[in-house]
Amino acid sequence: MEALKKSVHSPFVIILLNLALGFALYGILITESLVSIGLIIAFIALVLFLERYGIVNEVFDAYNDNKVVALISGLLVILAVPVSLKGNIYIAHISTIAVLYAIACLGLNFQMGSTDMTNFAPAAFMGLGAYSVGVATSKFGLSPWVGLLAGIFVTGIFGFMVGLPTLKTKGYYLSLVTMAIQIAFTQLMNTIRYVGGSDGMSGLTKYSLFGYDLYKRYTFFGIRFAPQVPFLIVCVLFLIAFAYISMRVYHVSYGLSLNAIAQDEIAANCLGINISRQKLFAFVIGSIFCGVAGSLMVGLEGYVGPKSYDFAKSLLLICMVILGGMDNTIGIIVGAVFLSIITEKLRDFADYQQLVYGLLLVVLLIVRPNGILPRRVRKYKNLIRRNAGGKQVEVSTEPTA
Amino acid sequence: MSLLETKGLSINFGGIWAVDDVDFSIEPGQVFGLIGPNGSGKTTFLNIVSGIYKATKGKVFLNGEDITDLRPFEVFQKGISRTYQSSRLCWDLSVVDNLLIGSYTSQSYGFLDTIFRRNYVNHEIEKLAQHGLDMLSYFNPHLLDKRYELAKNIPHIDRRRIEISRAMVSHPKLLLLDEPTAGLNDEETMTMMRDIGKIKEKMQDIAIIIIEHDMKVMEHVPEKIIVLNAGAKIAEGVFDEIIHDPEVIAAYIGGQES
Repeated sequence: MEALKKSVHSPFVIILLNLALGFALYGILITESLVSIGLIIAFIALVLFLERYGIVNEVFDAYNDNKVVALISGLLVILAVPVSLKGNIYIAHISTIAVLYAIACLGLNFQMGSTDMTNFAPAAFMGLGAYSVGVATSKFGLSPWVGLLAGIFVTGIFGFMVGLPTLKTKGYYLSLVTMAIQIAFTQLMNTIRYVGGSDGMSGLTKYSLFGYDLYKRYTFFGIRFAPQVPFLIVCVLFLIAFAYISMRVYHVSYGLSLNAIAQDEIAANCLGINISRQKLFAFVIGSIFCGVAGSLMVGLEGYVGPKSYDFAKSLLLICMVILGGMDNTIGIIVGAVFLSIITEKLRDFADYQQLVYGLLLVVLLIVRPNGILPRRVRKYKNLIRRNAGGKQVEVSTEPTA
Repeated sequence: MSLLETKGLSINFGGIWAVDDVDFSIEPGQVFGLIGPNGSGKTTFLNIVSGIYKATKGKVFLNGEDITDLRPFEVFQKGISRTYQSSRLCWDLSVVDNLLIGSYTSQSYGFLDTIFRRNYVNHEIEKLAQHGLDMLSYFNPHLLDKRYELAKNIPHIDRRRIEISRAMVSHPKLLLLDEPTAGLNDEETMTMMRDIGKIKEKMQDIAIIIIEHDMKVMEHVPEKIIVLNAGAKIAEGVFDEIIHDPEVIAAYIGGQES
């Protein structure tokens, strides 16, 4: 086992691991429901087995040490999945949903993971983004991209307005406020005739880019892709951009101040952090992320309705963040993709879907109580050790702990 | 003009004057002790100065500017930094991160910079992290090896040092230390008082107010001692005067008997 632990640190092994994970993902996606559930359970069992010997954390450390290799090979593997799917539209559809949930979860994380403010209304913000596109395209005949931009404004302003009353409340009370907002949103959309009431709006204009239809079958290098693959790639690009923003915000004073507020509000306040402003920042940027995810969601089916953005959807997003790992960008993406696939694959269990789903979550959280990838300590480069006289003694860039 | 001046500062909690008409002033570079028995209003006084509580009556001036009604983060930005009786470090953050929070206000980049000027921003953060670690290693160089450990895994006296360093990295004009020796044994208390002496070597112009309920600790550092009892100032002077002041003796012995 010790030899195995050491070997995972070589870049070559990381590429192999990425390939293996890619194959596992491909296998789970391509197989029929019962087989794929079997694969998922086998995969979880394998991870549990390795966890007993501390190898899982070792692997995560190895990934962190070889960031560049891991990212590039991982990206290539992920891009290879849609290529190998060829004409399978169902899987392109699941992948797109997973990517969009990941974007929404990154937004939710600013409030839940960083600032410890449990927000039960992320689906409402997704819904706002989606309805913005719906109204812009069906009522004003605008491009859905304009709707997306409008959605950013609407969700940003709405996030600010929701943030204001929550400044005065904390903990359970804050959760109650956001729950009320979520339920009010669903009820409101159910009753407003202008946006279709409980039927919602359907047959909306879908996205296109520079005149290209993003839902057509395209053939590249002799491979015929599934109809939705171009849209999937656009969504992945959005995810990459938002993941980058999340990582940067986490690393700099914005993320750090949010963490400080979560830990001790009074101390943070007495260290010059404007608590109200930072909390509003977390709400506004998080809402915008959710809104963009919702706006893109319309591009899947060309439909917006209150049922797609109800309380259950909010709970699903919260589960993704908790399971993936609070305040860890990569962890949240993994959690979102993992849960999206499981939710889809469990559909065939019909009545038992929720039961199996709950069981999986409970087992995973018992084994990894802080999520799949827990929060990591921020590392800073070029830190020099000086003695009391200000003379440089030792240059160390590696963590010693 | 004094650095910090309070005029008739008072606060009322449910009919009790926790701080009662306190006049106080400190010049740059001075080290004052604020002592008194338990419940005499020392911490409440600090909480009013740092903006956590709003004064019922009276004013607080910093360099002649009225800061009575400012919020805590604005008071900090004016140059008043503090520590707490029971440490308020961010337990789930590393030592470096705790120090970096102290220099939050020195970070000048905007949101767009963090996204589009990655190297510039990272460089600035590293500079501030280095500055914080330099400050910390001034007290205890061995803590540098623990810079990525979570604050909750650090021994008690070192937590105090981190907290004091965190309060100092922003180069405040006035440092308020709320019972820096609370929870330390006799030997550690002496080390801590020596560490506080070191602050003066590093920053000559900084003014320090140390809160203490233990009289003998006061012997070592402060230039002037102010004694509070039941919210009111009962004595003011150097250590030798204070320990012979009959009112102070009565307050202390009376406090212990009751």
